[in-house]
Amino acid sequence: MTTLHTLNRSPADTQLFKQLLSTIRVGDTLLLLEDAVYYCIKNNLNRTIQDIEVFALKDDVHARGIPFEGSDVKLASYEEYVRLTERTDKLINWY
Amino acid sequence: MTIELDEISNEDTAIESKFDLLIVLQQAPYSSASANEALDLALAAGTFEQKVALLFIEDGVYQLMSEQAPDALQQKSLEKMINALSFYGVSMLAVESHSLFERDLHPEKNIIQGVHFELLNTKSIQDLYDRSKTIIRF
Amino acid sequence: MLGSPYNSQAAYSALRYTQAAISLGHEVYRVFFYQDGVHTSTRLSAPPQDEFNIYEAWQSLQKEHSLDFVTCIAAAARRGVLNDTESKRHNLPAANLAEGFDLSGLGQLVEANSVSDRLVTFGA
Repeated sequence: MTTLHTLNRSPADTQLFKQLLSTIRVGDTLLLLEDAVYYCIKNNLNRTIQDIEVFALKDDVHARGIPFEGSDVKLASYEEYVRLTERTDKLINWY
Repeated sequence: MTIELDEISNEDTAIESKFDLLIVLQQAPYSSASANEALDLALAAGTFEQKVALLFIEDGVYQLMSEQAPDALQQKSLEKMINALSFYGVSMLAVESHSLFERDLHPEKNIIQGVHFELLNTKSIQDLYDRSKTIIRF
Repeated sequence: MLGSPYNSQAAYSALRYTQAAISLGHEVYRVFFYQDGVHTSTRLSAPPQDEFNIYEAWQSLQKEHSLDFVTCIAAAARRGVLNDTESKRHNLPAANLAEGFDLSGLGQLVEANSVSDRLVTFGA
């Protein structure tokens, strides 16, 4: 069973992120949206969450001016968010 | 009467069921409508015969404290709602053990008595998420 | 949808997601507005002309695709969002529920969850 996790809070909300980390599994997918796209600045998520595909919502990234060269995170449109929801067996929204 | 701390393992019957809805309560009571509106949803889902589980985690565990007197803030009693949950068909009330202990709360002392809570560790919570079709957090 | 416009991005993200889902051919069974999300269903908002009007955007989306928008009646009443019936029932001077939204109970959220493949939640 694969799960799509979405996260919308900035890295300042450590408690929420801790809960997400306790639940996410290898093979799951993570989509960052709204303030969670700020995780992309440090580009160190792959050290925390290994073997998980990470996406960030394009419009949220661009609006916030987040630098994106050489990032492991892939940009996604809202349509791609919907596609990710279809592709996985389950959805957990973290907010 | 003593309440035992159950360290729930994967094989425990408590989390063999599947749930239609898992409601996660992560906020403290009274400072917002979050706790009340989460419990309202729990009651509605139970009434509509859905298999519902509740998970109290982080500040949500404060909702379970036993000496609450919310009329001091002219607010409704959460304790009454929590006591009514199983009567209305909510199948499981789970609490994250770590959230309780890091807040210096103990099941025998400061938690509502007379209600059965499953004390869960991280692995069991992951199981609970696995077994729930939909998760809504408050 | 659990967040109100201006207090969080929930209403906007949910709007974009819903539009995307429809464009990809999905059936959006229902959009349920709960907690502060009920504020999205007011018809009395007046954002500045040079700002995006999220309220109108939701209303247009509902109209264009005949979507089922349900606002939780209890959450709305306590936050001051009422239709004509509720306004009269409470002896209040006005009603402000926008066209295209229906006031109903949490049972509608529960039902939608039980018949849908996915429930997507946009929280604050």
